[in-house]
Amino acid sequence: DRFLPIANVNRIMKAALPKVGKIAKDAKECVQECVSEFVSFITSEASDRCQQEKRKTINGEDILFAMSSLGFDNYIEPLKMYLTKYREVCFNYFTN
Amino acid sequence: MADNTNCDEDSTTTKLKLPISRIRSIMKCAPEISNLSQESVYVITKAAEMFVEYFTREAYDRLPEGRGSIIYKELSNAVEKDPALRFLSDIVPMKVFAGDYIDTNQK
Repeated sequence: DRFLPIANVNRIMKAALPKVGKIAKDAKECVQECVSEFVSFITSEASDRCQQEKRKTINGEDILFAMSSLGFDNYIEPLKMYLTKYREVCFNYFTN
Repeated sequence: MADNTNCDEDSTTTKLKLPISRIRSIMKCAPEISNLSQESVYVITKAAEMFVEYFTREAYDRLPEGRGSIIYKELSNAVEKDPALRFLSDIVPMKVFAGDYIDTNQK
C-alpha cells in the first residue's frame, strides 16, 4: 500500500490543531497522499547523494542532508536531536 | 542492521506515531534505491510526522474568519504560497471552476 493509515495521519493532524479545529474528509485524504509524496521526495534526494558518493546504504545523515537541500531547514535541529537519541537507545540496547 | 523495533521501547522521545514498515515500503518504491539503514527509516518517519503537523498548521492559519474546519482549499492555498510546500503543487493543485477555466482559455 502506497499510503499511510488515515487514522494515524488524522491523529497527528488533530493534535496539531486547537481543540475546536475540524478537518474535512477530503483534506485528511489529501494530507495522507502528501505524506507519501514527502517521503518519496526526501528519499530520492538522499539516494542521489549516496549514488554520487558511491555508497550503497542510505543513513540518517543522508536524510538530514536531503532535507536541508530541499528547504526543510527548520526540521534539521529537532531531527538531529531525535537521531542522537535513537542512536543512544540502540547503543544502550546492544551493549546491555 | 538488526531489524528489531526494541530500540524505541525507551522514552517517548523515540516513540513514533506512524508505522515504520509502511514508510519503508514507500521509500523502497523510489527509483534507484539500494539499501536503507534502520536509522534512515526512523528519521524519515519522524520527519513525516513533523511534516503532517507543519502542513496542518499552515492550512489552519489560512482559515477565513468564522470557519472552523479545514477543507481542501486551505491545503492548496498553503501549497501555492509556501515555498517549502511547492513540491506538492502537482498533487494539491488549486481548483478552478470549469467555466472560469474555459473563459481564460478563450481569451
